[in-house]
Amino acid sequence: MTINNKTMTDLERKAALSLTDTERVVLTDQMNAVLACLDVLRACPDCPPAEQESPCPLRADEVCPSTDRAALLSNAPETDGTFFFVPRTVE
Amino acid sequence: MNTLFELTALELAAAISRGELSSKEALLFSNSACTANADKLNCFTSFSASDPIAAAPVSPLSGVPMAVKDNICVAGTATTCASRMLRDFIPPYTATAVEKLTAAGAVCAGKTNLDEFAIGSTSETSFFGPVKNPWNLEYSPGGSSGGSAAAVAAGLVWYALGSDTGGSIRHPAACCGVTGMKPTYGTVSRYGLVSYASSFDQIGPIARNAADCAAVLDMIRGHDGRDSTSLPGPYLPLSPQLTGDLHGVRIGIPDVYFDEAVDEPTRRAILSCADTLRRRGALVESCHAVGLEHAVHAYYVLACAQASSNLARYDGVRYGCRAEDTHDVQDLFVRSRSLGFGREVRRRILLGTYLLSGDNYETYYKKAVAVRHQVENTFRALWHNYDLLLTPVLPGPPPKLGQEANNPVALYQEDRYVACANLAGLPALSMPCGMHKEGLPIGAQLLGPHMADGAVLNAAFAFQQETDFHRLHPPIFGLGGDAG
Repeated sequence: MTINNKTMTDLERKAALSLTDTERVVLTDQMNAVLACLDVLRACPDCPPAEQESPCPLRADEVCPSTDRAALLSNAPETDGTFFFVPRTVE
Repeated sequence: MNTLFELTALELAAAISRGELSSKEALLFSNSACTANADKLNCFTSFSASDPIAAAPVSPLSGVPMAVKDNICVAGTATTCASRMLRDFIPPYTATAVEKLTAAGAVCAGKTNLDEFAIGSTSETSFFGPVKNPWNLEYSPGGSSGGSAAAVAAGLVWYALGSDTGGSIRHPAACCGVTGMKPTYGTVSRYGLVSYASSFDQIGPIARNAADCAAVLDMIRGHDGRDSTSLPGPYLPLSPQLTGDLHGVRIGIPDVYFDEAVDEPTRRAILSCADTLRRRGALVESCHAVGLEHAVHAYYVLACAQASSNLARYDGVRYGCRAEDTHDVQDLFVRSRSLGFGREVRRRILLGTYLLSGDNYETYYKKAVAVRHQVENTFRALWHNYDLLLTPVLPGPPPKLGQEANNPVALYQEDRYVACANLAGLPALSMPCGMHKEGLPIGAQLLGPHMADGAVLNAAFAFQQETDFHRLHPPIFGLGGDAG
């Protein structure tokens, strides 16, 4: 088995997600089934990219007007009108 | 007035231009159809309250009501991505594609439902509930742009914008019997499209036919400095390239996509499509393609990895839903994300996190990148002998609603016919080419080389001059009828 309960707990921590016990069992089974399918990639040979320059031009390194502060803050769950609010991080 | 739904977007625009009806009347007609039918299909997340401005036509589609997939930002209008996470999100800016359409006189009737964050291929994972297929309400409309495809198929709007990361325009277009185009990667700005897997995401049109798709693309294509992957061009107008002449055009049918998984009705429909293209002058033959076998596996590794990275921004601080009574920042992140994301999104984030962790990066991610290069090389070789490729979009009818919700492997495999175009950044189109015995449409896919969007559209245009599959309407919503 590729993913077990311990691996899943570690993944939850890394992804900042929390599953119920039932969800963890179901998702572990499903993800193992997907990974079994993806295992065919292990045998695939390496293949370097074709040499080519990016066709996308870089934009000028200039300061440009950005979105208005009030507009950006308007979607925040909690602000003081100037900054985003988060729970206290330093006791 | 029912005959309005027989018109394509270009035909409706011409009628408006001739003064036979106003754009306001067209929008009222669309609003009335939406009010009567949208609940049955659950294809909209919100409706627009804006009135069209009476003005001289400024584009070939001026005044035509359309819809926008709800992962594309419209300033001042909720853009939910069909997720609890963004149910109250009002973007302060508008996507470039929508800006261009608005400037061209488009009238937005509403935002369409989708798989949560465009992650899925059945349009069932929406926080607002599943979208239904207008041809049979027990079936999925495909996904993730299922709301856009269902709204166009049911005649609620004349065209819609979708987004295509691994087939999310072409798959629902095939399931709903409409025409959908994923343009060459980089030709339509991604600015304002909520990111899922940035190296694949692309906005494109879903409409009744190829001519409408070309007209929409002519309005939304072009370089945009706000998208670092936007191509500089040149952008030759697509609509004038629709001559319907396929003499000398070489079309290959790759054997790898015409295997035993493809059911008999789909096989017959694709072969019949090939015959029709031959009648228009094309040289169509089977071809052998090595290096595409594992494209869908590579796609899933790369898409999940990019999703896990892109969706890390939803932390309950700057926007999106926020859990209450959290005791520290980490608790805020974990509980807000767990509350806001649905099961499929969580599954992909966790898979992506796994695939990027430790040795898995070498085992899966780097191999997937190598397969992507192999896919690009395979297509590059195919273009020496062929101008276009013809494949199925999916191997059989769309799944019944709920049928594959707990079988991600079966669901992911359905994308094997469409994801290759995203891996290589190619233009690809889905068009209706037959019907299953269940009364559900069959789609054919046309692919072309980079920037050959016009050639892809022209082949579809030629096919649609010979057939009427694109003029069929779901019997419960429209006119019904037989195709030739």
